[in-house]
Amino acid sequence: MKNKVKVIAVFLVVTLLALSVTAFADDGGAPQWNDGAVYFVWADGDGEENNFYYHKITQVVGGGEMNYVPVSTITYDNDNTIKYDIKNRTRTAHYQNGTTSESNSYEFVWMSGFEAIKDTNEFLNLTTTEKFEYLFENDLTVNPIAAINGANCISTMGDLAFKLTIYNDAVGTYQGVSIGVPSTYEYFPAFWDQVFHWNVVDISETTKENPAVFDAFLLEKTLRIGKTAASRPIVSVTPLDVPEKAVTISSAGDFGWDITYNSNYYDEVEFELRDNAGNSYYIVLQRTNVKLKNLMGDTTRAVYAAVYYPQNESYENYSVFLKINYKDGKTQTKIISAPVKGIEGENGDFIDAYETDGGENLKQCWYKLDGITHDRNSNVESFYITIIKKSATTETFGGTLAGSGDGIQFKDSGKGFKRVLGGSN
Amino acid sequence: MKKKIRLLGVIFAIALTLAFTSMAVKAGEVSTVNVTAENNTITVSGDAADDVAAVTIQVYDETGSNLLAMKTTSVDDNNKYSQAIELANGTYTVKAANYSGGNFIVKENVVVDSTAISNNGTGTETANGNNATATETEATGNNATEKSAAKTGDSFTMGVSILTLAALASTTALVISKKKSK
Repeated sequence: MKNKVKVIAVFLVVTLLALSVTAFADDGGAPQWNDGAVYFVWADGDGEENNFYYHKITQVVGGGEMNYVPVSTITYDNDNTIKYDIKNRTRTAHYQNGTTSESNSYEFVWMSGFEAIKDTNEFLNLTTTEKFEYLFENDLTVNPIAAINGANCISTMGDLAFKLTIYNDAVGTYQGVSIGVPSTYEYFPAFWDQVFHWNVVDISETTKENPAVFDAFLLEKTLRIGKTAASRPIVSVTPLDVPEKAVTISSAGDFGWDITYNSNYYDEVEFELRDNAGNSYYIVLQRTNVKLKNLMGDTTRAVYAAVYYPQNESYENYSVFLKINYKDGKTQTKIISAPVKGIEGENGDFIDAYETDGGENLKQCWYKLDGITHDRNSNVESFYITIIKKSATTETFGGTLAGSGDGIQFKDSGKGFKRVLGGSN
Repeated sequence: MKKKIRLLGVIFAIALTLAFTSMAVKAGEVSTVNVTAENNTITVSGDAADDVAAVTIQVYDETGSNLLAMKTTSVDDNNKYSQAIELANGTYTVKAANYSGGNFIVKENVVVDSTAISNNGTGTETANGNNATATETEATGNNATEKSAAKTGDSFTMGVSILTLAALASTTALVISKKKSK
């Protein structure tokens, strides 16, 4: 009888293991975040002679909380005299264009998967370049989706499992700021993830001409900007090149500074931030409530604009004024007075309505930008979008919801149209 | 006698207050629009109330019904705005309003003619229910002459009228007081 129980127990264990392996395989076969640690791997130079190093980063907290790791702690696990040089780096570019750049490469790598192969002869016998290829091809690298790096930091979204920033802890180097709202978000658009919305920016080594850029939501009138961990306090925030009435700056004490916008017109204001050591930093807060969708149909590559507006409003209240610049130098303007229905939403769901949920206190509707495609034959160089409210009479103006100058400018990036900084006027 | 002088002073002060109040720019509104044209570019400028942070400028065809171009611009610390817009040759109606919405200030018959040697703009201005005081431009051929125009029923006229009434009231009161003192 005992033997039978043992057999059944073994059978159950084996079955469970098989099921878990199957589930793992169904998930793409990639090791996932489950262990509070991640490896950082890097190469130290160019060519065939470069070396491959790795460091295990432990006590990583998953979810939306940012983990800050000083770069001075990133040393080779087999020789702690070998330190990672954060100022001398490039990134392997598998995800962007299919090519590989191995010089001074770095990757975040899933712990369990890497530990299973790092000491095997199969892996050790590879060149550094081949090791990076191996890690990528075997899904051991962490998808860098939405990661934002700076002059003195490397940040990863941890494939939406964790947030981590390696920062330069040499004195006077890294300066980070977080940008949020004073209390709770009045609006939180659907194109931001509630948990993983990235609101930390490295502003070190920025200049007036080459500022950091942060995307904010247009309808949120007041933004709060403050220092991050491992950074110096910000003692002043000064808007540049705008009238005094454009924004109102007020101190929020230890939390930083509140920036209140007095008009939606001011959608690309640059600010000078000074720390308590007298250093200046520059950041542009790029506010938007319009997102493009470059559709990849078989016969057409149409471009749609998703417009986000308050929940108590209707799509019927708005029109899009579109200005198109063609490659032959001609321009054209159009008014798109009605959105379309029947397109794919944020989560791939089919929207059979003119407007739908757009996030916290928001709705969204979609305008087809007639005449604009993102294929090779497109004659469109750039275009501008201004969102206006329909006027009640010919003698009154309903108001502008979004756009400054000619409007929000989008240019062909080669992979669809993307917003251009400073291109609105 | 002293009481009468005091009374006159009070009447004058009230008149001045009324005049300046009525002359002030209406809150939340664009108050003036001026348009000059050179080659294929018009420059639209004017004044706005202190609480107007930005202005939307719309260019319509001659009929004023078809929107052809639009730009938005900031309002500076002196409450002035200015924006250049490129246009093809033609006749246009230009409208300006608070970026956030409000009454349009309209400039009709704006002529763009790149074949002309110099053209500082043509046009007539109509204010839609606002208290505008405006500078109106008239073109004589291609050489524009500029004159100030106080619009019928506008605040400037109202201010002058109130001042006149105040002066009349003061004079009457003075005459009466003099007669009584005799």
